Amino acid sequence: MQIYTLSFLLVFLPLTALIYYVVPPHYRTFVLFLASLYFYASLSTLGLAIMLASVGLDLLAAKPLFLWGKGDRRARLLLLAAAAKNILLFVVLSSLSQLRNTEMPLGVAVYTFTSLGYLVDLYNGEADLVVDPYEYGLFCCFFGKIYVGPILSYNDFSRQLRDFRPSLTKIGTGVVFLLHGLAKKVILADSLGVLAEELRAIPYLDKTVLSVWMLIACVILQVYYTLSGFSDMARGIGGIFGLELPENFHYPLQSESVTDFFSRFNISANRFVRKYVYGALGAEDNGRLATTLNIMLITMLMGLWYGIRLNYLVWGASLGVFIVLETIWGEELFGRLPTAIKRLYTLVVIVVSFAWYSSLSLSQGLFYLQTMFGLRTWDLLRGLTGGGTYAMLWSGESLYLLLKNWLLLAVSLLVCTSLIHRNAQRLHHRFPRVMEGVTLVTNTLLFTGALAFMAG
Amino acid sequence: MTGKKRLLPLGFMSILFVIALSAFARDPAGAWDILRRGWDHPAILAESLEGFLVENLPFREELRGAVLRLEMLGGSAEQDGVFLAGDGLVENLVVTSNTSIHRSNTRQILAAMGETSSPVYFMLIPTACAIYQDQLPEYLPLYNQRGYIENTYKQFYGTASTVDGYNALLYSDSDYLYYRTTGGLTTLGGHALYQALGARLGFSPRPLSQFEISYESHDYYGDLYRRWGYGGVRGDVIAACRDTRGALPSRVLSWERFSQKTYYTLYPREAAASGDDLDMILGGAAPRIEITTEGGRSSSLLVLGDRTAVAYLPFLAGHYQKITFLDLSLLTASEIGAFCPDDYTQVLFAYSLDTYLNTEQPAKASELRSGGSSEEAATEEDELGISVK
Repeated sequence: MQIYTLSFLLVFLPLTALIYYVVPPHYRTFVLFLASLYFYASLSTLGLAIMLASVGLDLLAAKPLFLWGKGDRRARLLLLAAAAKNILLFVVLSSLSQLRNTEMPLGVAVYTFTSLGYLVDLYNGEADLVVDPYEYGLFCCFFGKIYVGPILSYNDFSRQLRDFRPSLTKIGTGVVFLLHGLAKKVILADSLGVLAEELRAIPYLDKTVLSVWMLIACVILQVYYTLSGFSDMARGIGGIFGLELPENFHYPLQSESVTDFFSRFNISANRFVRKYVYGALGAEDNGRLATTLNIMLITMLMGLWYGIRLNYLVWGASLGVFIVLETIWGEELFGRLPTAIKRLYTLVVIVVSFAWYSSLSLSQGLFYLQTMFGLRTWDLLRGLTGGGTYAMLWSGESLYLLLKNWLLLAVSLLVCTSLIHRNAQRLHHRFPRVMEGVTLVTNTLLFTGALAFMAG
Repeated sequence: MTGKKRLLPLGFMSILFVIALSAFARDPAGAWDILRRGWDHPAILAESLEGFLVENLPFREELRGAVLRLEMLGGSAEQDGVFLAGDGLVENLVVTSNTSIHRSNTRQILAAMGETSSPVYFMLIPTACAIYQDQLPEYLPLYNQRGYIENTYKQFYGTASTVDGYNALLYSDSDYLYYRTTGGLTTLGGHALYQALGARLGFSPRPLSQFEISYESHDYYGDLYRRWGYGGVRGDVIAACRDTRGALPSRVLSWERFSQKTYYTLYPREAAASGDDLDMILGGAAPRIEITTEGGRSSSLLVLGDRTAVAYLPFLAGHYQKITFLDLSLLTASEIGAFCPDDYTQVLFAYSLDTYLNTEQPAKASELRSGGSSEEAATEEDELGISVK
C-alpha cells in the first residue's frame, strides 16, 4: 500500500481517521503510531524492523544525552555514534539498493535525519526530552510524511500533539492539500514518468537536441510533482489528523537565482543541511575559500539526499558552482537584472544541471549535455577547431512525442508556476462566492481525475 | 471558513466510505476472502485489496474512458501501441533490434528453396500500419516496410519469383483491407493479394464480381479492440467470398496435434462455435490446413506462412486440386520434416512482415524434407498420422 493507491485512500485513511477521532484523546497518538507501523508493514516488514531498531536506538540515546548535557565528553561521543549510525544506515541502504537495483526502503532519509536532528537539538539544549515513546515514534515514522518529509523539529511536533484541538477547518484544508498532492502525483508525475521513459527508450544514436531537452524537462517536472505531491499529501494527511506540517516546495521552478531554487526545493531538507552542517562549519564567516568549500559541501550533500549516486553528487556540485558565484558576486552580477532574465537564467542552469540527475552514469550525463547543445561526438582538442559531429535538432519521433503530449507538458508547465494560485487568490478577494464554487468544482474534478488515473 | 467549507471534510470522508462500500458490495464474497486470507499479513492484504478495489471501483469503465478521452484531447491517439485510424484500429509494427532473426529467416528460406526442384514463390505481406500510414498521427515513427521488402526481394532474385503484395494492397488502400479491431487481412485484403499471386503463380485471378459475397458476422470485435479499451471504433464485418462461376466443392482438413476436423466448405459456420467468429474462414488458423478441391486443375500448392494466409487461401482453392498450408510456428521439427516441397507443383513462402522480422518461425523452413520419394514420405506420414497426398 502506498499513499497514492486506492487501498490507502478508500480504506486505510478513512478507517484510521474514524478510529482516531472515536478513541479517547489520550489514545490518539498511540492509534496514529500504530497505524504508521501497520502502513509501513504493508510495504516491507524488514524495512519496518530496520526503522524500529534505528528509531529505538536513538530513543535510548536521548535520555543520557539530555542528562549529560552539552560539552560532556560522553554526550559528544554518544552523539557522534548516533550520527554515524544514522548516516551509515542511510548510506548502506542506499548503496545496497543501487547495487541490487532494487528500491530503497521507504523513508530512510526522513526517519534517520528526523531522529538525528532531534538528538543534535537535544544535545544543544534546543529540544525537550521525549516523555512518550509513541510520540517519538510518530514524530519519526508518521505515515503521512514518511515519503519526503517535511523534517520537523520535535518541539513543534510534540506541541501540536499536546495542544491538539480537532477542527473541521484544519481537516478541510488537509483534504484540499491531500487532493492537490494526489493529483500532482498520479495525474502529472506518473504521466510525465511514462513520457520520460519513452524518450529514454529512443536509441542513443537517434537522440536529438529536442528529445534530450524534452527528456530533461520531463525528469525535472516529474521529480518536482512527485516530491511536491508527496509533500502536499503529507500536509493533507497531517491536517486530517489535526497536525500542521510546513510547506516543503514553494514553486522552485520560478526561482530568481540558483540559491533561491535551493531554498524553495525540499525546504525542510535544505534547512536541515544548513542548520546541522553549514552552521557547524561556520557558515560564511571564515573567508571566501571556506565559504566556497562549505557551499560546495552542502550542495553535494543535498544531491546525495536523493540517493548515494555519483550523478547526484555531480548534480549538487554543478548547482553549487552557481551558488558560489551568486554568493560572491551575486549582487554585482544579478542585482540589477529584470526578474524575467533572472528566472530564465535560473531555469537554464537548473535544466542543464538536471542532465546529471537524469542520467544513470557520468558518461550518459555527458552525452546528454553534449546532445542538448547539438554535439554528438566531441573531442575537446579537435572540437575547439571544429572537430566532432553534431546531433540532429529534431526527428520525427521526438516531434511525435511532443505533439502526443503537448497538453500534459503545457499543464505541467502551467501548474508549476504560481500563476493559477496568485490569480485564484485575487479573484477570491473580488468574487468570493463564485470562487468558492469554482474551487469546489475544481477539487471535485481533481478527486475524480485522481481516482480515474488510479483505477487505470 | 464558511459553513460550506466545513462540510468539505465530512463530505469527502463520506464519499470515500461510500465508494469503498460500493466496491465491497459488488463482490462481498471476494472482499471477505481477501480480508480472511490477508488479515495477519499486511503486505498481502494491501496488495490483494488494491487489486480488488481497482477491479470493483464503481464507474471504473467510465473513469477509464474519461482518462483516454482526455489523453486523446491532448493529442494522443495511441493506447498500448494501438492507434485510432479513421474508424478502425491499427497496430504499429515494432521491430526487434535483434537483426539476426530476419537475416536467419532469409538465409534458411533461401537454403530451403535451393533444395527444391518445384518452382518457388516468395511474398512478404505488409501490416496495416504501412498501408494506412496516412491515417496515423503525424511524425509517428514507422518502420519502412516497403524499403525492407524491396531490399529483401533482391536477395531472392534468381531463386524465387517474388510477389508484390505491398503494391497490390496499396493500390486498393481505400478498400476495407484490414480488420478494424484485429490485426489481420479481411476477405477483401485476401482478394487483393490473390490478384497479385495469380499474376505470378500462373493463373488468371477472378475479379470480385465473380464471387458471391455473404456477410457472416457484422459486429466482430477482436484483440486490438480489447487493447484499445475505448470506444470510437466500428465492429468488423466478416465476409465469405464463394466462387459462383464453376464453383467446385472444397474439403478443408484442419489439422492440430491431437485433433483434426474436416469441413466440406471453405467457410464452416460451425467453427465459429469456438467463440471466435474469424474461425468461420477455413475453420480458423491451424498448424496445417489442407484444402482439396475436386475437379480443379491437377496441380498442388504448398504454402508456408502464418495466419494471414487464411485471408487469401479460399481464393486460391479454385485453382488447385490440393493446397497444403503449414504454419511452421505450430509444428515440430519432425512434423515439418514429413513434408517435401518437391511433392508439390508449386511452393509459396508468404509471411506477414511482423512474423518475418520478429520471429524465427520462417527459418524453420530448413527442416522441410528435401528430395526423397513419396513412398518414404508416406511411411513417415503414417507414423505421424498425417497424409500429404
